[in-house]
Amino acid sequence: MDESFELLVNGAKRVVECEPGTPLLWVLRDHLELFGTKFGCGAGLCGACTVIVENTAVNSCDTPVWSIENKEITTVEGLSINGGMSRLQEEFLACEAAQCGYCTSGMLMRATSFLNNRDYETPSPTRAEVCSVLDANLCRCGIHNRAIEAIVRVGEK
Amino acid sequence: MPSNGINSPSLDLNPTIGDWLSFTQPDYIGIKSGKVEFGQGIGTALRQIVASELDVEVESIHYETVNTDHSPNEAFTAGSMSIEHSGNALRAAARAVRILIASPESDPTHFTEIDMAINIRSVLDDENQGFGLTRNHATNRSPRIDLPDKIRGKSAFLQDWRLPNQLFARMIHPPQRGCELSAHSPEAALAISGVLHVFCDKSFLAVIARNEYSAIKGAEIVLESASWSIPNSGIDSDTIFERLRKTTGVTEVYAEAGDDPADDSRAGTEQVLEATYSRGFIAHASIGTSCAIALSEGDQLTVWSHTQGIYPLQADLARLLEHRRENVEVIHVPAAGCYGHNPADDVAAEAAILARAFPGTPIALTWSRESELAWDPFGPAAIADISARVAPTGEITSWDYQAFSTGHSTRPTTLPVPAFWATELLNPGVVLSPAGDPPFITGGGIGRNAIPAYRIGRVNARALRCDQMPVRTSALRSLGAHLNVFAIESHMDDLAHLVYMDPIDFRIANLDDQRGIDILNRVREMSNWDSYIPSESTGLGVGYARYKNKGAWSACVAEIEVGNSVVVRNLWIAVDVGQVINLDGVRNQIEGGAIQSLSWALMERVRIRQGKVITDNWEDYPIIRFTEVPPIHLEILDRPEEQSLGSGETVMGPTTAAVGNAVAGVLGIRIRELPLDSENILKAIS
Repeated sequence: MDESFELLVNGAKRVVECEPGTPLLWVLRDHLELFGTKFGCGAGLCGACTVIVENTAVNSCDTPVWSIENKEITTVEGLSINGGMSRLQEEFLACEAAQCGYCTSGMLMRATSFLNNRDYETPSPTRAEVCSVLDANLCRCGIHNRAIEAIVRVGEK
Repeated sequence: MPSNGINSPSLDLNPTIGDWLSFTQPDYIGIKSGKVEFGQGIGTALRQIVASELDVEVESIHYETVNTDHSPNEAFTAGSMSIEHSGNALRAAARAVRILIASPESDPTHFTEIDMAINIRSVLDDENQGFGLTRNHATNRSPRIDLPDKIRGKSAFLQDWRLPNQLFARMIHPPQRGCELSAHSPEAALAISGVLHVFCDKSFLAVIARNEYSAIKGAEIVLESASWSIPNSGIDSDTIFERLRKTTGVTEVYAEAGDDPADDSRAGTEQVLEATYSRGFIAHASIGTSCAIALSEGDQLTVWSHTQGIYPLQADLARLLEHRRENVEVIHVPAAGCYGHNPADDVAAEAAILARAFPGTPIALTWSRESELAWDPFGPAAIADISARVAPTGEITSWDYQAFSTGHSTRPTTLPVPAFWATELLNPGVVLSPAGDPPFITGGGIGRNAIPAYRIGRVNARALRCDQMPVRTSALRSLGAHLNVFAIESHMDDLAHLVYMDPIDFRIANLDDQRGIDILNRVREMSNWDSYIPSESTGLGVGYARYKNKGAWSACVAEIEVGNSVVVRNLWIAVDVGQVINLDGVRNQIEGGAIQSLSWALMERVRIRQGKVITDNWEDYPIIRFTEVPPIHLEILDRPEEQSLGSGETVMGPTTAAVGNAVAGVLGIRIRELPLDSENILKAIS
């Protein structure tokens, strides 16, 4: 049975009517027409659907809507308010850290969460650190080194 | 044959200015290409070529949507040929325009006056023969036009398109190929909110819903209710190589020097090395699953697709649906990268079947991850037997190569029946024909890079293309070149060891091709090959090839470490692609190709049990992850005076070969079966 859920998406309050088990991915795509978050596997194994919930990167394809009610959700659309780009997006563009670009939004969200949660007292992120964070995100075109470069640049002191 | 020195089959088929350019209004310059964007940046490179010829800003050039209504027919976007086909044709068209306006400076307002029916070759006179090389087109860095939207998360992909009243579909594919649907129950699915229809025709089964998630849920429930007659094709990936060796097929001969003439002077001094190399089936494994939107209105069928070939897809859709070809329009919309012939065409046919059943309603069909990995037209499994002889001087006196493989193409229009899974699902008893191969002369399939590019006394090369393989195979990035280069370069290393030569010295000693020698020397310097000190667990290996024996040159050195598994620590690559149109674009293609090749080399194999593909998710079919990717040190040699060559597929073979040679060096045992994972290493040791 459909129920009503109140969500906080990219700073705006949104209300959707759907089954409690509906994954956040499909709430975003089917109900809110936010298409930046991608379907890749539906099993939480590829990271294409990564969004940020309360500062933590999660796979939206296996996050049911009931579990995130009234929590702050950020999608890739939330990174570029007013048509601009976040620092990380600018570096992705400068490094051309995308070929087909299908996995890009998931990477951006996982990396944004990583960068936001870093303590500014810690040294710049290492390659190994960035790789272990992004290990949950698959890319088939092979832009890994460019994404690492972009993320390290943003994290540099 | 082409005249005027312009080598482009695309221009032969589409000879007029209007086939390639449009100046529909002042200040508008449109380029029409039949080559489609799938993340390789072709739209950007083609814009640069035309901008350079017309001497206008890149930003004023528009890369028009590729569709069967107005785009030139360039068959497939494949084989790293887009710069050579579409690029050369557009360059010729733009140069013809420049000559026609006969004005020293280009004024976009003049373009609208040009007669678009003029034949391009008739304008370009003999003095333009050296064309393409006279002007420096390479601005070397031009930002990709498609990236800002993708990075912003705008609706850049077909998966994100929404047409008015669009409905969403999911296929329920059978458990394995050849199954016939015997029963299913639609009721439970129809009870789900949003599910509108369960469509069934023979073994073609799909759910249609108001939104995508309802379609997914509905399909899961219909699947639970479905029962199928399951054939046993006896196919098992563990015994695939024996099967390939035993089956019948078509013999292709690539080089025939005959038997070794007795040469007494060398008798007893030459050494013979015989070995067999192999690779299992490999999936295209796009991160986004395949999708299509189709709309049937009256006589007209419109299909939005991420196909690599809009015209071949149009032709086979017309055959499948018994529709007039003119009434089928295929419009290209980008989706995730494909790396060859992935299920893009199959999903388009399925969407078209559904659209015909629900006229007036756009039907968007997206595959599940499981379908994407299990119903992929895989890159073929193959074996290559090589027997070669080397003299103590390091001279290679003979080379015999015999491959066993399925073919590399079941693309639309290449088979007697429409080349879609839908053909089988809708017609019990009909089986898609075995895969064929592109002609050897244009690069070949199994035979791609089958002939070593080294100086060899006597070469025999042939392949048996299997015609009895119940596993569908088709084009995967670099086709046969991947296994062939792995095999040749593994063999070259072992021959070098037999004559106590350094592997790079041995290659250079047997090469006549200066551009090949140059890149081997370059990669040797880059990797500090001569001063590198290997350890018990670490070492270097080299791989080299000229793609298709007539394309770009690439040489690769891998540094690996063997612990519980093979880890690649560094990769050095030197590449010669002739004149570079977009330096960062080439670098991105080479880096990406190398990383994908590492993934194939280290971990990829499709597993099939009794005909069922069991590697249908990312846990069972892993691909390379961030922590497994090494830094890549890449140099593109500067060759502004040389013809531009495709880059996207060139490093697939050399990268895998370099890793294989490094592993052999560290372990002291040659692993001849890909992937180079612990399973195959243990098999080789025991």
